[in-house]
Amino acid sequence: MKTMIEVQDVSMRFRMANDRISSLKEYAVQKLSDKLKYNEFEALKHVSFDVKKGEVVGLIGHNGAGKSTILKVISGILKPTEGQVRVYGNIVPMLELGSGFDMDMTGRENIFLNGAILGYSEEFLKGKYDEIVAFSELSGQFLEMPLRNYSSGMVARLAFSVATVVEPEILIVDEVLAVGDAAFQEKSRARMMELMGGGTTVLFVSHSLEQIRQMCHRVMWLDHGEAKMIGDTQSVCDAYEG
Amino acid sequence: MDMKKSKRFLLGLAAIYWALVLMIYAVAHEQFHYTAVTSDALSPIASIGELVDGMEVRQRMTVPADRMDSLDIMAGTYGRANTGVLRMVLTDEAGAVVGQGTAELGMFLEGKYTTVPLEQPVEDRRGEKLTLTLTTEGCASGNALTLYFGNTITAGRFDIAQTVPQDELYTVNGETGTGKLCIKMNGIQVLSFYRWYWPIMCVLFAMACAYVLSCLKQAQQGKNNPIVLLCTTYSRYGFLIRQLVSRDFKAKYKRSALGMAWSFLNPLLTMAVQYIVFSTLFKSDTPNYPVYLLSGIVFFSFFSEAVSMGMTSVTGNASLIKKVYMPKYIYPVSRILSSLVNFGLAIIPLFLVMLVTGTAFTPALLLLIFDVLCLLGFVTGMVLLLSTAMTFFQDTQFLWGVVSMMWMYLTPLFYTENIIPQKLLVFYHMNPMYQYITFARVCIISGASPAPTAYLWCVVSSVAVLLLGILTFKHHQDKFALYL
Repeated sequence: MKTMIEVQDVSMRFRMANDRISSLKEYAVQKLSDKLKYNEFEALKHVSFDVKKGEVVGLIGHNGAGKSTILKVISGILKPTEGQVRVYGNIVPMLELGSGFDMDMTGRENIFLNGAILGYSEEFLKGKYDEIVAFSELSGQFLEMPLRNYSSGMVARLAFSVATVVEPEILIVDEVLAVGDAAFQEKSRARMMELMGGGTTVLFVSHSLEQIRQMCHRVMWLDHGEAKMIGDTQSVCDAYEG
Repeated sequence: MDMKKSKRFLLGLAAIYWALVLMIYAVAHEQFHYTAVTSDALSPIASIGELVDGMEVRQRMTVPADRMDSLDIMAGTYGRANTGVLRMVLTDEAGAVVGQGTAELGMFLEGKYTTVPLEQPVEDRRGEKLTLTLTTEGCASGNALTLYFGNTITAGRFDIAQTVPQDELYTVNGETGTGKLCIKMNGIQVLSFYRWYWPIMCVLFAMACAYVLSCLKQAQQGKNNPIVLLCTTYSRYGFLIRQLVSRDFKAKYKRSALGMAWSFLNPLLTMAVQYIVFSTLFKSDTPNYPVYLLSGIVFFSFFSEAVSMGMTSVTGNASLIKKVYMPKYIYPVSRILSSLVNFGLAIIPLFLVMLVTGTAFTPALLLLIFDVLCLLGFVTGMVLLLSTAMTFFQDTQFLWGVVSMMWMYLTPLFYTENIIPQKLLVFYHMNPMYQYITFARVCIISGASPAPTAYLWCVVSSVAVLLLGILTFKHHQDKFALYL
């Protein structure tokens, strides 16, 4: 089976100054008075694993265990302090939907902007435009209106529709995205399931063990930045609960 | 990497390069071949009295150029129409005649320099001291002109004028006077650069080709390098950059009644205000002042707008940088491109003002493309540098506010550089913005190509700052997400 993600001995250290210094004056004063100390914080400690094609891998752990950090490292947002990450295939990270939206632009413009930010090509977006609009259930008059006139549910629906229109080789999901009203939540859940079931490799973070048990082939348990356990869903979840 | 798109992109770059090289050659080859030289002018203080037949005025002067074609003589006519002929003879140290010329007295205007051509140009005498002998024919008291002399060489406003050396004082019938005649020598200097233009351009191109080919070879083995990066940016992120640019543009004029018209109006209104202030209050006598002013404003505001917008592009997109992966340089680059679009719009009122003031549209305007490319490189370098600094220290932004104001006053936007002391001019010229703006003004107002050194300065300052910016940005970009 083809390996899609390779994480080798990855450590991530943040250097946090006692108090975040963001001005030159402060920096100079602190440096001169020798008060400039850094606290090292290790968010990930020598984590290694790999994900094969078509696998759905769950990540579990307490708040601050490093789940989001590892997703950011894999999607390339953060560069690991040590170790290496190799990714074979295109990633669509669904860390936070609609982060590229511009409230002053119309729905239509935002579909193209956000699509471009997610790395879609122009031809692809033009071809899928109707599909996106149909999925978001937004009517034509809203599409020509600035986003600031939308309800938050509408924004979320549009964001979800743009993000899930692709069939990426690797999908990174931080919590299942349940947005909008009950009907749309059901629809979006179904779409996620469809994506996950369709041979896409998925990395999936959730606090709901129920969901993890339902969907994942393998699970990694992160604890204070360390990979405490990696294995089949059943045993890791049992250990985590126990 | 998309091979087909990359190839098209690289071929496009090569085509732009050759188009520029050809264009510069077509417009500027004369300026590359020769440069016009005129010797220093003196401030006139008095006249030598009527120059009549039988008088012989001598003046020693140093030849300023490889080839000397004419002399500019400042004469006084006593406000009457004189007749007769002025003869000039140039002799060298050994006494041999090297050049001569004659002029009708009727040609001369009171207190103005009048050009008198030499019959044969004086060649290869650069730096030599020649003696000019002036005599007249058909002149008597009441029908003669006079010559002005001075004893200080004109200098900038704050400079102490130089005194004329002893051996350059004029003589009338062998009697030494108290100054030097107000006569300038005009000639042209042959530049060796002319011969090197094509070889240099070809070598540069060959070097670039070799580099690109070696990069492409490496790329096939899967190695990353700047050329691959450039191509992927173009093929993969071109769409994204276009989207970001159009967002900036739409956002800027959203909810403003006049919308895009502000891009024209802004520079025009600024110019109008400064024109009124500086042409009436301060009595600036710069020729074609509106165009002089507006070209400075348009170029400088592109720089200051692009830099101040670009430097906040990384911090301003913090939420995106922390959530979606894309190459970080996309943010500053798209901001700069938005400013470039604005700059393109601001050029239109400049052309309008040129039309209104009757400034000629010459092929030299094509050279502006070269100038703008250099300016663009410089701006990109500055933006990359400052947006990096901005990520770590928020106060860069406030510092920049002060620095950009200082920079504006250090660049001759509404004044001319002749108020700057001669001694400081060297430093003054090191300002890259001065180089770009002066380059543009020479193209627009004089309709000629600047000297080859101006090209060199523009390219060097642009490439140096660009490289510095790229290296700084690249070195620090991995830390951005941690500091935002």
